Amino acid sequence: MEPVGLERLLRRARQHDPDALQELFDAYQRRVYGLVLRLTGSRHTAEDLVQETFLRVVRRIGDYQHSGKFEAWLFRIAANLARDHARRRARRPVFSLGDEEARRGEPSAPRVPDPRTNHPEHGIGLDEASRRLHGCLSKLGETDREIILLRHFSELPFGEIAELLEIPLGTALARAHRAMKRLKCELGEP
Amino acid sequence: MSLNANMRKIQDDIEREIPKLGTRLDAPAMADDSIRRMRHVIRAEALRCTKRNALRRAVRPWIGLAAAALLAAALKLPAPARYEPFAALEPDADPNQVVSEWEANYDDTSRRITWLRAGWPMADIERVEGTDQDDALDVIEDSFQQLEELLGA
Repeated sequence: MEPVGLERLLRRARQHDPDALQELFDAYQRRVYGLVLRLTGSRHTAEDLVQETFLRVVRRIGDYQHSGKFEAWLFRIAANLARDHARRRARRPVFSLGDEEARRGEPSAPRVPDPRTNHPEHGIGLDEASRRLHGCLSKLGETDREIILLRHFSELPFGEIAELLEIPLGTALARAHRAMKRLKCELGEP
Repeated sequence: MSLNANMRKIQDDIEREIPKLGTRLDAPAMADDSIRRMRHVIRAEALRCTKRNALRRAVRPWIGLAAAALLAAALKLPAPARYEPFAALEPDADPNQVVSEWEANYDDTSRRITWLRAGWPMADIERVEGTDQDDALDVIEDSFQQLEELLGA
């Protein structure tokens, strides 16, 4: 969105103008959804997180001071929500209803969730090439994957991504570089 | 090569490489009915925030007045002897000044209410039905409740 148009829109949004807030949602929902879908691997969770992201925008926009970094602010909210969700999920033990213990009404042993089953190649309707890429992405570390996806979906410069993830720029670049090398290697690209 | 130049080169490399992943990185769009539902939710939340802010703005001047009325009513009653804070006040103390001090000393809403309530252990005061004091105590009790609602404690 053009900076002037965005600034005007934000001015209205800060007054909680429903049209302006809906325009913001329409302008950014696709990219926010893409990011959280890729981070969580679940359509249902991604939709919940998109809604929560924009609800937080509505509630906090009055305090937001625009300094040309609205996208960084928006994607920080989304990325933090996705990260919180992943942490909650990792802490929560997974039970299988098919377990013998469950059938007997006894609690089964908690299982550690497999992060690869929670990743984007599963069940979100991708073609083969995308499926392969996302299979490779899911093998990356959480932060490395986040950097690549944030760069793609938020279109933020690396300096802002580093700020958003609270890591030094050099670390963000090194991680992104390593992640890209690994992705190319996994994909068998030169 | 300086560190900055190194970083710039790495950054340029990544900037070249990421677009090569192109549409493979893209995600499918959200379902139309989900988008419609979220628009409604967002608009409803925007209206809620507008109403909440309007209410807050409307109520803000009354909070001070409500507190002043409460304290003024409280000050007209003989304070229980063992109750120090109000007993220590001059009978003709300026309620506005009392409110200002109260607000300054207790910046947290629930602490303000707790302090006020602690100041008036009304259960300890013997009530004589039909007297002015009985009515005044009722007013104070109501005022506490209203104050709690107003301050959202």
